[in-house]
Amino acid sequence: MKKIFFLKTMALLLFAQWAVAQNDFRKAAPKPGPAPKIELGKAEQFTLKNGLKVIVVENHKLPRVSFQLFVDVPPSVEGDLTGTAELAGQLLNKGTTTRTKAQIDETVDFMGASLSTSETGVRGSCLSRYQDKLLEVMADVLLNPTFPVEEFDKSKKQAVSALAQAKDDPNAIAENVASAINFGKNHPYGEVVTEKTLEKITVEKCKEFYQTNFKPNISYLIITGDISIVDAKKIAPKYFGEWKQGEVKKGKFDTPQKPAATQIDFVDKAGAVQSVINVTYPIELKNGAEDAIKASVMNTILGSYFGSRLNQNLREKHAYTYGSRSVLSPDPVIGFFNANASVRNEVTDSAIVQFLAELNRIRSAEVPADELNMVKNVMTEAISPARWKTLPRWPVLHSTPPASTCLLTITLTT
Amino acid sequence: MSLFILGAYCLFAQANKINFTEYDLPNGLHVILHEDHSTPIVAVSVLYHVGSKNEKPDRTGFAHFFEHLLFEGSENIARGEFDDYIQEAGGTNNANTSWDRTFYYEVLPSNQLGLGLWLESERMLHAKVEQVGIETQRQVVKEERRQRVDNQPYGSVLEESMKRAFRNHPYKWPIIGYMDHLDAAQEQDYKQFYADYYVPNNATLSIAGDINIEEAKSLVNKYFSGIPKRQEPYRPKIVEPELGGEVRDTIFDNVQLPAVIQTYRIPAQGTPDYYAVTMLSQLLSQGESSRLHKALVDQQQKALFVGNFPLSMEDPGVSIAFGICNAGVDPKDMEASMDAEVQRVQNELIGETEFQKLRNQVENDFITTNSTVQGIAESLANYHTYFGEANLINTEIERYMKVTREDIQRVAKKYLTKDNRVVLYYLPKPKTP
Repeated sequence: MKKIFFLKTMALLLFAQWAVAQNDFRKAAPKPGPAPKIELGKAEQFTLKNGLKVIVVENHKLPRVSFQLFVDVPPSVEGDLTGTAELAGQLLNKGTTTRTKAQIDETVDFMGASLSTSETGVRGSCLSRYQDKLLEVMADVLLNPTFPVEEFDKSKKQAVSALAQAKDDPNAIAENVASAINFGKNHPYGEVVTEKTLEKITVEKCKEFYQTNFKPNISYLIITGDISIVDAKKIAPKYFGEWKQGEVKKGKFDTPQKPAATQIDFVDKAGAVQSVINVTYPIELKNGAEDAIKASVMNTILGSYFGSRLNQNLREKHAYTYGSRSVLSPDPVIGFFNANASVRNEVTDSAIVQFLAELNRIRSAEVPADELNMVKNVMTEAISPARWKTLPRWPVLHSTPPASTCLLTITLTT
Repeated sequence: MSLFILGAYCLFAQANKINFTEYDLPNGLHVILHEDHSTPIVAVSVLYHVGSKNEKPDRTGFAHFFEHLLFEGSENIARGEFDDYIQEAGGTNNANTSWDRTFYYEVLPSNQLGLGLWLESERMLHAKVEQVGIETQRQVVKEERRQRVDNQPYGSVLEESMKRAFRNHPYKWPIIGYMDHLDAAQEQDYKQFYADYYVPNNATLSIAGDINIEEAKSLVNKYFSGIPKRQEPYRPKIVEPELGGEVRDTIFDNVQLPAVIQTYRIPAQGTPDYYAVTMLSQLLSQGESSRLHKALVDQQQKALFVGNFPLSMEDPGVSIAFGICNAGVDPKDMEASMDAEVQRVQNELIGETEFQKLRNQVENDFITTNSTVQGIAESLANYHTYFGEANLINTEIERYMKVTREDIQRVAKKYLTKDNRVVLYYLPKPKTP
């Protein structure tokens, strides 16, 4: 039906190609202009008398402001009460000494604002004209939560349903298995919430978690957006200055050991049309360690940008997957390495062969200079303005794995 | 409370105005330029007015598949180098396809504006796709489908709902397409699709960021003016008749918790009723104090999650209510509660305070949308393409502000009716021994 149209278009197309052949500027990429100057927003850091550290980054492009109150709770083993901290965090905004859950929700929603709580604190954002109103609620849920029993029961019920839902999510399964294997079930990072542990948790245990851990001297208030540093200096003590400090004890647990040999773990998932493959391994690597930057560059080459070796190999060359990537996550306690992809069932083995080949290659052969250069550009971009939103989030510092990182655990969902 | 409300209302116009320049090249390419020097970056984007609704019924998924292929290269860019140029420049890029359009963008340091324009003009003028690229991307897209739809609990909800909500209109098939259609696509299909739709008179070039307008104009002219205009592409003009009665069905899936999905047919984006329907769905589901959440999750504890979401579509589309049952809850029971909340809106006019909450949420969301240069570039292109009015980026909020409480009640009665919906139950697959 469209044949005639098509011939006409082809003729035009040919003509176009002839026409532009005269234009040599098309042959090669244009040269960049002089590098633009980067001007960072005003930022400042100060500490309140109670030990709360405050970090402010000004950005006035939009009339919005974000607050994050981060409590750096030290990890501890929860054992048969695993999930207590998570539940406690969820309960913070479910009732205070002066506000019911419904009142909190209505106040926040009325401003079109957002507020969420977790075991590591409280986050909120709003139009800047509402900042005091939002901070009032934020401070209230942080300082005066009452952990109402009926809300506790509800949250528990929700958690049981969420567990059921996760049982059919291949990524959730893989994540649980990977952390249990990497860190061990007796380590804070390897513990998994189950129906059994949920059953045992009480509202008193949630309160206890809150009372022993939520202290200003291990916390940070991070403010970004349409606010002046002068204002921030007034606001921080006004809303969080009364928060009482206290000693927070660190939990005790053993450092996870490397697997002795490559270990393969299968989870059989009936009806799945893809295998979720994770090649993972615990690493001892802290932010700021000597190897940190080098290890991060290594991981980017391997699997953390579109042109990375894993993605090029498993997606662009072999078409086994929609995407493959690796993560190298440093941590003050224990970090991990994880390379992963979802692949169609019938190429599961072939995909693993390619994972292993790439891991061996990066260990044994020198990285070519042009590849290294490319990755350095990619990474400097990652911390440069091209990634900035006009409302910056607090930057997450990436950490590093030892250069000796190699793969030892394979988790498959078949 | 009343003072607070008044304050909120008077201040709404405070959002920063987005200034822009727009014009057409003689070949029909629409150009929009927004200058903003706050960070030294620039977003270069091209929106092609082609999506899954332009596809042939036996080649579903083609628009999206084709989007993958347009990263393969051109007469002057070897296979795989497209991304390399951007990565080397320290930029990011991506693309996405909807029912109605395909959108490509790069975010680059502002001294690389020329690079972005060169790449996009190569893509528009003479993209080149080799057989090896076609076969590779065919598999990649099939994996994308498996990952997003087939292997995801509730991943097929949209697909199953749309194919029952539409009988004639191309919205009835999924953007990602069906596996056998992806397999069937041939080289000739690509050539035709490229010739039909990837033409300057079907595209909007939208640039936002640290640019100088005059310089940008001259670069745009250099790279795009030589691309020839072609005939107007095919645009489906299919008017979907009314649903004409409730459609109910059951899907057995790899899920543990039953879910109820109610798909209501609603007017196209940009129509006055669409704005009212959007605010109605906010009333039902935006925030913890929203009606569905409060009733079903908080008070009755029947749902793990529940919400109602209108989809923005160029032709009349749908709003989808989606609830996942808490463990042990009968989906019939949950559905009855979902319906009760809808009936409440139909029977009682909402109060002033709750109405003001919706307006405040609209304002907050409207301001937040324009927080990145690529977001601004995309919004400008969308507004131009769908409504012929890029300035809606500054003024669309007024359309929401025209919606009254009575409008919300009226559209609830008009569109959220049984005869106008598809109801699906997602149930766990029976265990086979």
